[in-house]
Amino acid sequence: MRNFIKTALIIGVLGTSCVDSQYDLRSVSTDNIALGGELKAPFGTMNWTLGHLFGNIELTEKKQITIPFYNEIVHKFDIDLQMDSDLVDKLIEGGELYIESKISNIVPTDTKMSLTFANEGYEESFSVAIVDKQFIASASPTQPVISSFSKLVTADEFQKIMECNKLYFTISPTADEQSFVVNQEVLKQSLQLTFTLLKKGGINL
Amino acid sequence: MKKLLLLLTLFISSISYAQQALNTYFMYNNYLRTELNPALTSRNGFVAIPGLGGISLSTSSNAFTIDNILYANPNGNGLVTFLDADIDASKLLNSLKADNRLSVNANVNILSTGFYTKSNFWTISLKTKARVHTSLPRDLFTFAKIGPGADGEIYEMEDIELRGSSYAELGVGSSFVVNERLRLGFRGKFLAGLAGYNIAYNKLHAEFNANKWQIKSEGKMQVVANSVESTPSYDDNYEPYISYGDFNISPRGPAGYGFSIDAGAHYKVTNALSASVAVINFGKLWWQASNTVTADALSDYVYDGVFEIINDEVVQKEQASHNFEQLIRFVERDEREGFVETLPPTINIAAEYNFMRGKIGIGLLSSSTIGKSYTETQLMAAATFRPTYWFSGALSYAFINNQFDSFGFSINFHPSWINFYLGTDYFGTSITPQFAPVGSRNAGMYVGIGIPLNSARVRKYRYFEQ
Repeated sequence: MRNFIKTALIIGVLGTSCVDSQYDLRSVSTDNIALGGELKAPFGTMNWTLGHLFGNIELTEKKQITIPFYNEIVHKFDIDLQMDSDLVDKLIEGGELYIESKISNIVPTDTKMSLTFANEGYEESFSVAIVDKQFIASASPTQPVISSFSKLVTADEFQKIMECNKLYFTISPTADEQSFVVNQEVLKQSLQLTFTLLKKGGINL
Repeated sequence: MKKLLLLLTLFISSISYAQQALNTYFMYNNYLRTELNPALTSRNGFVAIPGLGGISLSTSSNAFTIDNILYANPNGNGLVTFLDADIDASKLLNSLKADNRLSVNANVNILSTGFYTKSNFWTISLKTKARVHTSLPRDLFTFAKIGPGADGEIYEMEDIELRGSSYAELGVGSSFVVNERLRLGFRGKFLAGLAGYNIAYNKLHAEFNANKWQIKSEGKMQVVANSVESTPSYDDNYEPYISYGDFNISPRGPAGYGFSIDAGAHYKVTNALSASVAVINFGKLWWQASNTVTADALSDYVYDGVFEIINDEVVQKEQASHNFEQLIRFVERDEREGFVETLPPTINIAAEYNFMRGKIGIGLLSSSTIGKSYTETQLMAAATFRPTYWFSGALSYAFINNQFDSFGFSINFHPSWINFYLGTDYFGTSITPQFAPVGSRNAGMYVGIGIPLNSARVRKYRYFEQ
């Protein structure tokens, strides 16, 4: 009997003295699981030749012309934004979502650009870039310069944007009176805009 | 997905290929030690209590421990997994290997008996066995935890494997005396496959950057069970596909058959010193074609934006034809084909020296399980105590793959009317309330109750048993 008690005590000590109640497997929470930390997703692209950007300008007989640039130029598009609804849900859930823009290649003058998503009863406008021609001249298609525009969008805003069927791209002069000279070579130059979604905090599962 | 993660977490955290606690190898009264070497015997014959005669649950990993996958909730009570957004990625990633393996084994001894005919010891047993093996590259966890980052690192992952199977095993074994020093043992086992799966990705390309999101996989899935049928879903193009849960299983019998054999020898060098060797679980399972669904991975999810404008023209983007939740999908092959599963054999080599007329034994046991793509070797040192005729116990320390791991213990009560044992090979210095070791990469619990036969053989003390 004495041996049995000794044995039971040893077993008891082995079995209970080092239980770490902090690691109770019944209390595992998976409510805050996020895949990845910070990630980017493509949103859209625009490619313009300068001739198209400033209003279908063509040089015929003249070698160069002066383009007056006093008012904003608006390009309007009917658009069908298709994004998988599950992906939309993942992007807007938790963390922060930004729409960023990158711009590359040349523009002959300083401009302000904006992108507007519109639908009946809704319009959300984003400044895309204020382009300093000296700044933009340093860019190339493989190494675009990053404009300073990054806008935080709420889940509600992003959902509404994805329901929009109109897209306006507006370029405006940065000064009241502005004009610039272009030749055939400049008109063939292209301007590329890349719009990206930046998701911080990962994708919740 | 959350349930899958939680299940994986609990698998990792709760529960080797050991079918039986290795430290029972030197416990002469433990009737299930014959599973580790068919040449070994139990001091008495036995009839195991049906369903309770031997239950083992064990896990083995080369990387995962409870305290590197579960953490105190930084925002409240309880625990969270390493995937929680508020847990530092380095906490898990620093402890991972290039290839991270996890094996889970569960065995239940349904019916078994052992008895002597003269000096021969016979065993007959019916068991069910289930095992799961997972092999995951470190990059998969890096991707899950850190993600592609703002620069959009591309992950190229290989050799992702998840497989498991369960089968029933009917075995007949015998241990017989060759001469006064040598004992040999053999066991033949007929296997009836119950169910299994094998999911293997040769390649998994994950690209998440500002230009493109793409997940592309090359892999194969096999699901086997009696009368298994797939229940495909359809994508936006009405193309059928199946995912992990898209199966209808209503088994009416086995899904395959096989065999395995155990063979062993025990040699008494002197009255106090003995050596033994065994190969166990050497066999194959043939899963039948009619009960097997084979499908190839067909995930090529590409997302590259929602609008593209070239000058004044809108180029309509063509989105992937399946949604984000269908990233992991397979297409079933037209013809069914069976496959052969090779069981991972285990080689046990042991030596034991007895002191104090056998009241204390010191033993060394090397146990190597040879898997398809790896070999796991455990070297265990055990001290076995046999103080009285009705109780014996063992303390052990295991080195796994040349690394220090954890200690274990077994206790065996074996008076004339019952034989009860409880043991573990892996018992950490700190355990969860569910008795799983917190800091050990291996865990296992083994328990069994049997009724001794040949009670007249029980004597107060008998050493030099073998």
